[in-house]
Amino acid sequence: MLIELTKISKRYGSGETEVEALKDIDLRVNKKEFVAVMGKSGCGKTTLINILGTIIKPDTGRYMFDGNDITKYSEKKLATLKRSSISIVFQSFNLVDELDIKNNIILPFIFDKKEYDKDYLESIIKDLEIKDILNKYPDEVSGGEKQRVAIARALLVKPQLILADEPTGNLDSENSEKVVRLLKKCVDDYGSTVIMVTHDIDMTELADRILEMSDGKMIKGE
Amino acid sequence: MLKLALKLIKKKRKKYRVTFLCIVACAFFIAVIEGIYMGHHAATFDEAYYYAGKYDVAAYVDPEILASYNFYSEKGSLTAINEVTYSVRQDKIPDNTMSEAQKSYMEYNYMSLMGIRDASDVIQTYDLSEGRWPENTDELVVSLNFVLEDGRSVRNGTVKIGDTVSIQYGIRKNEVGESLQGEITGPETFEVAGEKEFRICGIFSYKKLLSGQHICYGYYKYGALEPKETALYYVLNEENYDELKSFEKNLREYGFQKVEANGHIETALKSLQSSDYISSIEDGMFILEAILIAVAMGIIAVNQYQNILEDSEQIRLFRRLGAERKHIYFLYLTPGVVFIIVGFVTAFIISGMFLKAYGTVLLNNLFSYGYAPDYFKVDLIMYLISFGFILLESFCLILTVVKKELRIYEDGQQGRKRKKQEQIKNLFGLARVLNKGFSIRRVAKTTIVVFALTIIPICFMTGISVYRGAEELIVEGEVDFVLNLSGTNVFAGEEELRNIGGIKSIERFAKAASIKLPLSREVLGEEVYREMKSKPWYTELFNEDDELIWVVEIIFPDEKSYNKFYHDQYTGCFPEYDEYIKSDSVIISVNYCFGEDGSVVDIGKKIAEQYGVVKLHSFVDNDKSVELSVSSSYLDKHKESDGVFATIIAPPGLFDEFFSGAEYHHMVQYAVNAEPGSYEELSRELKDFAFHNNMAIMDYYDANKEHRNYLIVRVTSLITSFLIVLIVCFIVLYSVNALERISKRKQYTIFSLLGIKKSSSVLLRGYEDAIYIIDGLIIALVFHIISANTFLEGLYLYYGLRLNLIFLSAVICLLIYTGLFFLFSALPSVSGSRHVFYRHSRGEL
Repeated sequence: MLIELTKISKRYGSGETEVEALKDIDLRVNKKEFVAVMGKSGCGKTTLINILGTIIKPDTGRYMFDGNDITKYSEKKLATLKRSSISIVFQSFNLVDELDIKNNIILPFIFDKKEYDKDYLESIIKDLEIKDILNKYPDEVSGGEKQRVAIARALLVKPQLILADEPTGNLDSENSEKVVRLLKKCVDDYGSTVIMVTHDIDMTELADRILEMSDGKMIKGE
Repeated sequence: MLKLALKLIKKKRKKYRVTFLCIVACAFFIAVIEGIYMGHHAATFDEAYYYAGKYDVAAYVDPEILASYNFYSEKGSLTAINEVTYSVRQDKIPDNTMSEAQKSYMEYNYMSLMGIRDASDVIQTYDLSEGRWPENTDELVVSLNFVLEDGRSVRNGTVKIGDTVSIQYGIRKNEVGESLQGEITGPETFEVAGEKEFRICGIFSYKKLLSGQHICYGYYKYGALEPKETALYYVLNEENYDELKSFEKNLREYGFQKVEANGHIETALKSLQSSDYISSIEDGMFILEAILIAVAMGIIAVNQYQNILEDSEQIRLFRRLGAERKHIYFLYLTPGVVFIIVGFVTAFIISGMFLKAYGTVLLNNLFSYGYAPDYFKVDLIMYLISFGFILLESFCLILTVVKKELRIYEDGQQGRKRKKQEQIKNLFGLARVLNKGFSIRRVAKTTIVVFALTIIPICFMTGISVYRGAEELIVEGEVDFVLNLSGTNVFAGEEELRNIGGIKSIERFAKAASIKLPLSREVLGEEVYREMKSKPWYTELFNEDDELIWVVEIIFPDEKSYNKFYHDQYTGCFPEYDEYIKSDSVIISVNYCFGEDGSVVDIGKKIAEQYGVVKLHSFVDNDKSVELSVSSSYLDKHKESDGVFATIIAPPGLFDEFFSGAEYHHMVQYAVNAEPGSYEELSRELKDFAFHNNMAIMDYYDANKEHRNYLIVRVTSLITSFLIVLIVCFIVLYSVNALERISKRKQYTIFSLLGIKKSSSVLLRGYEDAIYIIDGLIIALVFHIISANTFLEGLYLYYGLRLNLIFLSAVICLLIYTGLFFLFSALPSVSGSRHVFYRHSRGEL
């Protein structure tokens, strides 16, 4: 078991404007599992991803990651965990415009002053078919290519968990399929666990499990 | 639309509160800088001597009043008014001005009545050669140099005791009809105001230099008389007392204020203390004012930039709802305009109160400006100009930003061509890549370093560079007295000076001799030549070859070279002056007053040209005189020599002296150290020494007292400049960092999402700042070297590049910068990460 969420809740705002984004969410995700999370806008998908990615903390509940209760972790410990074990792929790609594609991929290693696995990078580049764009800049490549670069950056740190927040939201169907297949590859070939948020039912075909959320609750596949 | 704009302001009132306070702070400093400068300036001697006017009769000493001279003379009410220059000692102002004025003498051409006092009390002496002192109002004594318009003079015997002479008096006017008071700034005419007959009852002689000076006519800074011992006032003949009272009444009707002199003389004298202070900081202050204006603009622009980015969704929404570009502009320009207006009004009130308190309490105690508080006020015109600048520039900046953002949202971000990037290996490499190219913050941060590195040294150097030669010793507190002597035999007096009891050591700085230097008609130029020829006091200065005779001073840096000159001169071995001028061993100082506007500069340059001067070292044109210190290669080799640029301004009257036999005069400057406790006695002995050796004391400093004053100037100058730079750096950096947080929001968000350690993030920013600092250092050093040689030399200050000072400033600035960097890195990181979470949680990232 990689992830175990117990009674996780999250509220935004206060008083009349208070919104309960997550209500007593329970979730278990195994290692090397590809999970798709579906639901309408505002149902709490992104909040769930943010909590899983340790970007925000839940108000209540417990978050066990690889057997450790990380709800009690300090900011520093969470950052370490995030760098080593969790990668996030966003709908908006989040690439640094001033850096070329290759430097974007190795960016986490520049900060950590560590050497990355060059052979591993080669294989990722090959698998993701981005060799030809390594010297280009983010604004010189297509959306599909950007997302593949984001996945490559996520994979390079060999994370246990890859969180994908609507990774196909800005892509056409052809590129969307490619990306989902790549995420599946991350599970099958690289041994990561993938949790993907999506609107599109077609994108969930390759998922091992589909979760459905509504009004901050998990209504299916828990 | 206005309502909507105001609603948006209300919604963000917390944030705008900070902006408002920053605007108020900037406007406050702008107002205070101007107010303090104007207040100090009004209290400096140039202005203050207007207040050091008369005693019994009238003390209307004001340029406007002088300008109205003509008006009153035309009405026939001024016939009794005579302008009097009078040499007084600060501690002995005569009570019986009226009666003293009657015992007056007249100088050639101008109606200058000079009060004669007990010779022992004044720095110049008058010895009656023949006859007696005047006893009646229609009598006068004349000096040996007395020359009438028709050429008759005492020296050639055509004027003698018992003669009746008719003297015209009046006012000098410049070409636009303004009356002139001492300063000869252009072509002038002498307008006769009246004529009076006098009977010559005596002939007198007096020490040189002082005699020819129109005392307190603006030459006080340059030699013969120290302003400390001078006052200007008007007196009238007793028989015309009633008429003057009528004049006084008229003046009052015109709104002129009568100023009682006694209290104000001291004020004027004490205000001298601040003149150096002012000159040392004024340039720096105005530079800082410009910075503050930029800061205020930056704050508004940054704030609105931040708002625009934060409101990106809102802007898009407005656009989708049909809002036009102009509506968006209006929404984001309104807060800037509102806050600038409200901020400036608030700051105006606060700064007004502050300046009042400053002038009344602080400076009154420090400098004893009796009247100064009235002048420490906000200069409304300058303030409004600053306001206009800020409003306009902020307007443009905001407009640019809004336009840019709208374009981004409307058209999408355009791709740019870039060079191939090498693989980044470390954080510094990343910082370098992330900060390539042109950006506002890069320029802003570099500019801060440049300013910090140049302003502090410039302000500091300005503060101390005004002291040269012996005055440097005063600044350093190394001597007790400085004595500038002038006379025909000053060198004979040196041994006697050494024999004065209590003197421990004497240091002589320079010797000078004046010579006549012909300047050819060709070099002079036809126009200038004719102009000179047309002036009555210049015509005599042409020799038989129609060359203009110029009086120059040769300053000898050492005794040996002076002795050679002296020997050559009297043995007839002195071939040509120009040979001397070209030599390496002298510094030539050409001093003269010219009536032709601008011709002083031209002629000075022509001298240099004619005599093959290798280098012009300094060239001073103060509108009233020209000092041309020219040097051959000597100065290049010995810039730090202790040769004093002794300057003796030669007004027209002085040339009488040269043409009447005494062709040379000499000046020497001594610095004297004395036994402690013997100062009072020594000061008296020094004065006696000068008088008994037929010398005129040109300057006489109590160096210890001056040293204390200079220390105040030096310390206040440094502290003021340092603090202002610190404040400005602080404010600007805050703005720049705010801008940086906004413009790099996406970048730092990505770093945060990647789980980057805070230490790495801080280090990255540190490296980025290091890049700015290195850039700034290089630019600042180049800028400093250039400015040192132009800016400071332009101020007629003697400046040498002092690396230790630059190094010190660099260290100080780096400390400030680094300290501020860490402070700002620590503070915004919390809000920055919150911002990231907020935006991410909203699904914007």
